[in-house]
Amino acid sequence: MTDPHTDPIVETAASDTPATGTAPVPQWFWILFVVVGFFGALYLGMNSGGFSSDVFNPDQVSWAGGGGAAAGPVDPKVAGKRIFTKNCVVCHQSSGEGVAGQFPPLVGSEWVVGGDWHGDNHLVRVLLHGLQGPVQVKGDTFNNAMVPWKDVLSDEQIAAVLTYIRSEWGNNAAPIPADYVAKVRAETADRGEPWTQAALKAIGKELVSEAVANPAPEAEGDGPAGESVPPEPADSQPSAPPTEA
Amino acid sequence: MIQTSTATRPAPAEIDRSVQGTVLFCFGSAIFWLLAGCLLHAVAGAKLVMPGFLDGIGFLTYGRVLPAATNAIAFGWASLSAIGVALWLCARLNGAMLRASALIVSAVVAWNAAVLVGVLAILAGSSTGIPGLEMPGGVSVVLLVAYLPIGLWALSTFRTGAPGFVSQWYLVAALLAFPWLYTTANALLVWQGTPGSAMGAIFAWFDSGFFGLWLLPIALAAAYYFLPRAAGRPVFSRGLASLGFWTLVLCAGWMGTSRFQGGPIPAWMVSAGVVAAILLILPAIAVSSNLYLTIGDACERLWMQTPARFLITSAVFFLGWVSLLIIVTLPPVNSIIQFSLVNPGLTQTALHGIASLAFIGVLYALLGVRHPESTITPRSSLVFWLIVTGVGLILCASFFGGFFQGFALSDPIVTFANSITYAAPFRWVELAGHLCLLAAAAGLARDFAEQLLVSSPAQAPKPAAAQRPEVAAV
Amino acid sequence: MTKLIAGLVVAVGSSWAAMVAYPFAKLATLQPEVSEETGGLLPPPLPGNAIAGQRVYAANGCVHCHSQQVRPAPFATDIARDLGTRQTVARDYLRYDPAFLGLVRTGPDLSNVGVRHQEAAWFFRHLYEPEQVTPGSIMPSFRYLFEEREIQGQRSALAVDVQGPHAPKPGYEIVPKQDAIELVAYLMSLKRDYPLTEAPPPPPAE
Repeated sequence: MTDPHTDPIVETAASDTPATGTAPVPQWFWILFVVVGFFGALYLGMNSGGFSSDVFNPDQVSWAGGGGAAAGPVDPKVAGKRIFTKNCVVCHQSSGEGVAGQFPPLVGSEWVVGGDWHGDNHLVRVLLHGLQGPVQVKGDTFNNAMVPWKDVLSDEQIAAVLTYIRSEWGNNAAPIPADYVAKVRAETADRGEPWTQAALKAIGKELVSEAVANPAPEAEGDGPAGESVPPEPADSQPSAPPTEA
Repeated sequence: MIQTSTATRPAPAEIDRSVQGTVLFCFGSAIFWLLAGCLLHAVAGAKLVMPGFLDGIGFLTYGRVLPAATNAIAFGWASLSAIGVALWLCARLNGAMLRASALIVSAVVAWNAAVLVGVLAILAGSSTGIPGLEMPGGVSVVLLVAYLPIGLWALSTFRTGAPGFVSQWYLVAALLAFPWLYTTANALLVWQGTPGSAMGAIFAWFDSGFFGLWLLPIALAAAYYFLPRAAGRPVFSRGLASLGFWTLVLCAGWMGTSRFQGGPIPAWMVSAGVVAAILLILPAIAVSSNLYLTIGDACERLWMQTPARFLITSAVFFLGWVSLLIIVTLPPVNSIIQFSLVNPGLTQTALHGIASLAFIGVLYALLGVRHPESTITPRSSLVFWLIVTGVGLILCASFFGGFFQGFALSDPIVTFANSITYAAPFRWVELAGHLCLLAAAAGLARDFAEQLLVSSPAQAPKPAAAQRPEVAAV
Repeated sequence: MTKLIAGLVVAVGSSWAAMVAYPFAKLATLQPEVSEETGGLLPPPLPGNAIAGQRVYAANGCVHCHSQQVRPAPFATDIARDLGTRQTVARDYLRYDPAFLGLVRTGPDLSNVGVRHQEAAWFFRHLYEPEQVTPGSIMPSFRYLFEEREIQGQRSALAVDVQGPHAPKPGYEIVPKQDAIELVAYLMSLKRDYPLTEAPPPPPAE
């Protein structure tokens, strides 16, 4: 070009922007691309720790498994204890006795093991959406708030922690299967606020054993939910729906 | 502000005249920060080999001098010269005249003032303690505000249409990435803290992105612009360039967490970081092979031109840096060298071997516009070899020393004090490397000042083609 | 141009989502655990001085030489070197802002320095004259965090038992300034000797 200004860099063409060739990408580059991509994906898959935010050592398959133990179904009571320790003991205490006047006890509580109007459906509802206002537990009145857990805990986790509190400290009630939690969750999907005692009392009593005996029409929580927490027949207490007063 | 139509596209000479004052101001202040940073880094290096050197003084303690040095280099030298390069290349590639130079110059003045305050604050003991982001929160606000007119003007030059040339892609990427990276990192780590180890992941994203998405793309934009012109050939392959570009912008943000192998960051994030670091081989090979196939047999001729020699070496360092980075990221190697001299050495290699060399190459091209001498001069050759030697010494020291130190650190029988002993001789070599860089900075400052002063009488450089010896073309 | 910018937003945004948003949502919101044994919170809350000490640790750039990460056993030898009994995990850092994870070990790892040394006097003296306490140490002296003052009546309980060349004049004593007191409180808070569910202690060797 007849540009009077000639800079030290040799001008290639009419424009001062270099041209771009259209040579195809060399074959070997595509091969490299595929090989590196393949091994990268392989490495990531093998060292992902299940893409969980609480696995820090990729050699440790899962923190629940404990160093490559056979990946069987997790005992809901073991998992439940862990969930309880993490989330519940601040109020209900690790003894399950609660704090007199502030947080109701779980030991022998009709809310937990069942009572004249307290069914398993109420228990699951309380855990999913929380509870507020005055409540009567074992003859004492408590007026506090329980937070909802539906966005924090999965169906399996809720089932596990309920199964745990229903079988610990001398409590002896049937395990709660995850698909039952899923069913209640589906029924109450519209609920946006915590329950009150009055609102719960208005709902008819339902027990897990009944729900399982005549399965819900919409099989909401089938699939993996049912698998990972089996209803635990091995628990030596075949589901005897507690109807103690 | 800009002339958009290609029909009225101003001549390169006009464009250069409109930007060169601003760009030279960027470079002038950047060189000051290079000198200051290298001096501080040399002081820090000396303190490692002679713990008694300037000991017991608060503002000169190692833990303040070192971050003062790295911040002066990162935000003073590297970022300011990157801004200079970006301004010039955007103007040239998009045929835009810089008419608002007063605004840009005041932004650069504010930037310089902020870095000065930041570095002094670090020395005075107001560091945030987050590596790479030590400057107090107020400073980063000023930097971002100062960046606003610079970035907006540079991006506004792209209004002419689709950015068709490779360098333009890299420039857009860098100009957008810097505010994204710096705002995120400051918002979550400096202006308001993030508790716990989340900080590590966020910091790693910023740190790898600061180089890989800000400095490196601008260096590569310069290489893709100047080398084909110097060789007189088109860029070899658009497809290869495109692959190299996209793989880089993808990997650069992801690779940061690879430094936390075994650390308190979820395993999948660390593994993803490792994979991204390994995938970095793709852009490295794509860029270097594309440039190599472009230059071809013109290599020897280009070697004798100052800008081209700097830019070619920068691309070679890019390939070398990525290769070494991949080796030390592989988990069996990483478990040994993770906390040794190796990683800081690689950071220095990337910063000076890739970014500094490329930016200085562009600076010489700009100076060459005023003085049509593009063949390598003894002065520019000295600067070149001092940087290459300095980076080479630092790299060798960090690798040999780092592996010795790493093996000592990972052998349960060797005491910790011994790991220091193993590394000690290599720290002297590293110090020598930093002194070379300091000398290079001094040489560059002298060269820069002289060329500007000499040209001043002959101001209003209406370059006459007839007078210009065709040295470059041979 | 639009396509280029959209591509950039996707490419850089993916790493932003994974490396910034995800840890911010998942790690920065971690809560302490309740100990099954003691009923206390894990990790335990920090004393006020230790919280203030983070600022001193940051200001003096300690992080440029000291890491605070214990890597797991099959990967690295940190546990064999007694840097800790288990890997450090995200929950270990939730009390700290910022968490000084560190990238180099020019000095030793400090994840458990509060377990290794339980006496404040050791820390004060080490900060004042490191090479006297740890021969061969290249750690700088932090004498500027201390002051020399005349002994009035009884010697201060915090006075440093200096033995090296920077001993005080007769009748004077070296006492830590507030910064040093906070820094030592912070260092002594660095203990990861409690169990966490996501970081079980490693199985006994062999």
